[in-house]
Amino acid sequence: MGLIPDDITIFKGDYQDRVPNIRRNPVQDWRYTTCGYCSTGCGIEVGVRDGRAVTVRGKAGHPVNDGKLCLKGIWEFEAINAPNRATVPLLREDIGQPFREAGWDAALARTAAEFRRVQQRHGRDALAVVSTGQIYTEEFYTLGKLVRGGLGTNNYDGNTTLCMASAVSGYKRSFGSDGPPGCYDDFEHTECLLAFGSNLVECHPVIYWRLKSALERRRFPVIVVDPRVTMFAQMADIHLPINPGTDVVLLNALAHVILVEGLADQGYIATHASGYDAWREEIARFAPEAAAPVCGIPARSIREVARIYAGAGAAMCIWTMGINQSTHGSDGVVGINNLSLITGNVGKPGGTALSITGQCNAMGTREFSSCSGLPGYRALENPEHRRFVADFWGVDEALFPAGRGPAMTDIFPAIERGEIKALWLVATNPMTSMPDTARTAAALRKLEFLVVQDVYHPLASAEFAHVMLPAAMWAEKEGCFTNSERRVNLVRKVVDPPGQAKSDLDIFLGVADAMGFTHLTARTPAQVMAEIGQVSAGRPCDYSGITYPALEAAGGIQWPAPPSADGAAQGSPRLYTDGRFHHPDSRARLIPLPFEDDNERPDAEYPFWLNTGRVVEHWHTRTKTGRIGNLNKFSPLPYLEMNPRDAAGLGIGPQDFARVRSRRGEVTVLVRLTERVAPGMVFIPFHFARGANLLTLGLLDPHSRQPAFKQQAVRVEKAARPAALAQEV
Amino acid sequence: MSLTMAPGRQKAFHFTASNCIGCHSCEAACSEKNGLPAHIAWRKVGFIETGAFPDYRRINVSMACNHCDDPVCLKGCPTRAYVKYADSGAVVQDSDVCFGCQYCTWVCPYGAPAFNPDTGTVSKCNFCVDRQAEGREPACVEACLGHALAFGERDGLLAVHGAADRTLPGFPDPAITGPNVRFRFDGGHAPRYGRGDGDPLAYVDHGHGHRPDPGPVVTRIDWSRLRWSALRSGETPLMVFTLIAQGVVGAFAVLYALSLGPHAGAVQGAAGGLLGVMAALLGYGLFTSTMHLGRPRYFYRAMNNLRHSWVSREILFVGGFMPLLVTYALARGLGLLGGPWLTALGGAASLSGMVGIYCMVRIYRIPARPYWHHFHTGTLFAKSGLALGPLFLGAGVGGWSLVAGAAPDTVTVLHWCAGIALWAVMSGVGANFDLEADLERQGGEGRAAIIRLKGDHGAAWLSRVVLALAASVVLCGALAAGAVGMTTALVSLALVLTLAGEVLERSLFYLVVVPTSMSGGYFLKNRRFEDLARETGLARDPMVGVAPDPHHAGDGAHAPEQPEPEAAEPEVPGSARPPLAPQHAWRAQAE
Repeated sequence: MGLIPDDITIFKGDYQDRVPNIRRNPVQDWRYTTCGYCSTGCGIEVGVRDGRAVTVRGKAGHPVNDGKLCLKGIWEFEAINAPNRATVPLLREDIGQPFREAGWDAALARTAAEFRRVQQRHGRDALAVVSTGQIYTEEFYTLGKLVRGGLGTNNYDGNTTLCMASAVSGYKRSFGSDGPPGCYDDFEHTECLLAFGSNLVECHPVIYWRLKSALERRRFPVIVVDPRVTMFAQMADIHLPINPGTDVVLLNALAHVILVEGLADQGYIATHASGYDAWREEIARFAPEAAAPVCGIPARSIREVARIYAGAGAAMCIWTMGINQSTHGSDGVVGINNLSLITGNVGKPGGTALSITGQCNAMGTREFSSCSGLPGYRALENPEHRRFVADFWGVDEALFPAGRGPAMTDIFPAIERGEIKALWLVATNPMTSMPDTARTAAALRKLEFLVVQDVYHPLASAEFAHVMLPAAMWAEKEGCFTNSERRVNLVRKVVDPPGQAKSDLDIFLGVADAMGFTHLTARTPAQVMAEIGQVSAGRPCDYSGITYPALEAAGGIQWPAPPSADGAAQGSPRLYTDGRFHHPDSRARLIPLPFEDDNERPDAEYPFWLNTGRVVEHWHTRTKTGRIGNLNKFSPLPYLEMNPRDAAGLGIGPQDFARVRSRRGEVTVLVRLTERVAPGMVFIPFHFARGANLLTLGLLDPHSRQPAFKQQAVRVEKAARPAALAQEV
Repeated sequence: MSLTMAPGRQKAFHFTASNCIGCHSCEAACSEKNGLPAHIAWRKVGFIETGAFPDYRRINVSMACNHCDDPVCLKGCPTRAYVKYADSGAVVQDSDVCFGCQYCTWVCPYGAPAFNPDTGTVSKCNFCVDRQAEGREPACVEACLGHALAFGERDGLLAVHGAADRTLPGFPDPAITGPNVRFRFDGGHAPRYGRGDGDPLAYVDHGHGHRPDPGPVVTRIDWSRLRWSALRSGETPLMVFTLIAQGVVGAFAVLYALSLGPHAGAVQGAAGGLLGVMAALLGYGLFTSTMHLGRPRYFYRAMNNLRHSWVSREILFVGGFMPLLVTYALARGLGLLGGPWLTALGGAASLSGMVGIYCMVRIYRIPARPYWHHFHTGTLFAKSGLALGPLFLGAGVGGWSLVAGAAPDTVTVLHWCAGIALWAVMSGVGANFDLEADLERQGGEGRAAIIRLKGDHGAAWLSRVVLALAASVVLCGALAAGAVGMTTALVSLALVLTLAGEVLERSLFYLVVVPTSMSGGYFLKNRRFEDLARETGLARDPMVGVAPDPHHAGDGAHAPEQPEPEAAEPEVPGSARPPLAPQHAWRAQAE
């Protein structure tokens, strides 16, 4: 029982009689949106007062987050109000000059003239367009229509090549089409969760909350494969601290145990998969004892995990960048798909291979941006698809190349080689996000014309721009995102964009008009969505039953979403529930995965593995979170995680600075000593302009062209403390 | 009359430490709801860690106000800005009333009250009493993503959560305040945890739960650290005020005592001038300590809490000493009062001053600050008064006699002064050694302070001892000397040496104290990073979340973002944008 000192300290009245430190609710109106950070797809309501976004709250009862938000979502209204917003179109003749403010007409005319000049003089492909996973699906579709049906360049890709390309590639190879087959509700049904290279706790906190809530109701084994003891690894029942870049070996060894011990679902394999014999031959070489020294995990642990996984009635795998950002990224995804196929864990509640996507609308760009194909998961390689889309758009079919062009990571070397002269960056910041910053800077500097379209200015990549187009951001325009479980969801327009900033849709239409293209007939988000509904009807990502009011009412709808009998789309929580896949024979493929260790490995000169990754408070290149003090304060500077036993040998103490060098460059960062990283390995978050990517090598996956950010060699030495420090863009 | 909370009324937080993922959602939900700027947080997540890779374990700890049974903040606050609610047990602070003395930030063992230099006021967790009134949980609890943070009636937590431990490794001793937070930790505890903020304080299980263990004391004499910039603690006004108050009370008391004795004649000539200087010094001390408040214009609230707060009482008695001193000086100088009345007035002044110094000692007896929470805080404050006061008096009397001619017993008076000071200085040296040895033996944050004292500030520590010993030698000389001139010179030299030693000692007193605290993170609530940010200019960017000067409003970079409590219309967060800090660091380095 608490003893209260005496009567004057007891306040018996209602708090409203004396209102110390209570902030009154300033909201006049709440508007429905979907979070614009990661691909979890949380429902958020934005509170508005006098035309300003003043607060947010999680949408109660929402099928994804039921009112929960992570800290980035909680502060998302501050991203709108941030002090680093781009508000006026900017122009300059030469990147050595300062920008001058210009009107939209002048900026668009200049952009169109330069595009025309470069394409006429050097060919259509001398113009490259690199977009994003950040804008709405309607905008992706319109950009694709503009680029494929108007500009006609095949140098067109999204920055999703840096994050999800391996998942796309792996899904296509195994199942015949992109599209994560599972959903978050699978946590409620699964009997085993196997997570590869995912720090779910920091990267997708609300998905972790879904998982943890399921675990609170019903225990099931959680196994995390990660070279670092992340918070997620710590929360797992089993943590497999794998050697960098060797996931395929572990996956093959797990499959080996499942086969040898007769734990495979042979009935499912016989009915729904092909390629079994060749695959089994390759798998035979991956006995756990052979795999153990390569991937650093004891054979006993491999067997144990294989038995738990295969013995579960329903088991699911999730993964993120630890798999995707690797020279074996696509193979890693295929390896996970293989595990799922041989145990029959596809398309059933709790049994799936679910890639956890990165950006809020990485899925939208995959579905409708025409980057690597044509809208609705159509292929440029398919003449029927080319003809259909050309007819649908009313454009010349000859504009479509007969195969997909270079990925983002091949576009930059093409700039180096002088093949590309002009570049249009849409909502992406390669100066921070691409591996080997010095090389990226040299490529950007070489361009004759760079136009940067972004929400923020200044921006590292805009240092090399001739034209800066200010864009409206999330909640300043209407449109849809697709989340990690294929849930198409709506963002209502909440506030007006600042200054002269325009929605990306309007900017694309403006460029099209300035170029003289007439085929972009859908002019509003709703009109574009109607067109997407038509073009996607009958496709895997069928939007034909989707309308904005239906999305808001349901809290999002999972594709395929054809209209049901009563008109309202029901959506599809899971794919492949009937075991029919998108390959021509309707069977999934079991694909053999030989392993070749091709990474830059630590040696005498560069003795440490460098791993990179995310922290919970920052979003990608910090343009969005670096100017929100209540997020940025958790890590305002880049830092290196290092094992104290290594640091002792180098004379590095806690909170010292260290110079980290690789064969690409060097960076000086604060050191955090922690046993969460293995001896011989260091970790730097990738979010900072002068951080990890000055060092990364970024070898490309042969299938997905995604760079390996997480496996390279560096050396570390103690550095003097800088006399002055300032934050970076 | 004492009241007790009705059973079942007291609400409490419950924290399952093994579930916390350190996602900061609780912290963000709190700061967002309350419109807090980046450099203020009412709820904070820090962490401790243990083990070797891959058997590494990190325990995140989310901590806000614990709405204690015995709210030391409420008792300490001189303005009565705190109340404890009968219906929920919430301890709520009113920034409107607060005048920014920051005493609550000293006494709270959990670092819950947060001082904002931009507004000059403290604010803290209000237990979301508004949400509670609507039947909802506090915002932090509702935001928790890890199933770690919960809330409920304290006496029912055990039944709901299966465990309701009173402590956790790194959590300060719950006996200090009776905090209303309960813990659960699944899985056995490691024998040793290190702090996530890099502080060398480890938490080691000695068989009776985890105790803070700062490691061994290592004395390191680094003369480059003996400079004013390294000795500043931000509490300079309090250093000045406490030394002046103690010295003036000491001087006055000795002057008064001498005036009653056989040597009254020897001090008579100098008394008027000395009393004038004392009044001026004390006036300056009171002024500087008032200006040290976050909102000095509300100084009159200082005595609102005489019933509980030693701060209020100190201000009453030291503040009361000032007019008594002035009245005594005037009455004596102008001959206004007759002998008995003057004697009574002087006695009252002396008594008021000494009671004031006693209150001052009680102010610093803070259980959450073991370096101060020691018998010798009183010894050292008394020593300061009895060293500085008589030496000041002696130098004044001696100096006056050299100008105006010495009385026959001037040297006797000087010897009395030197003798008292010598005894005080030598006692101080002994008390310091005893204090240091005792705290070193105690361990915990007390020993951590001694580590800072002898390790980080070894040169200052040594200098202080050397100065005291030198002053003692000089005072022995003064006692041996017979001539007024020589004695006066030696007493004056001893005054200078003692004053230098006292300034060093009092600076260290504020500088090296280590409060009980939960570990911070690598950047947030990390003393080392805050120092780095201030010293490198990084803190000028408001996005870094470190106030450029923790005690005073910054240079404008930290525009007040927090809604002024006086504002009738609630301000919306972000409406007062801080100016954009330099953004081109990257470009500057690239070019």
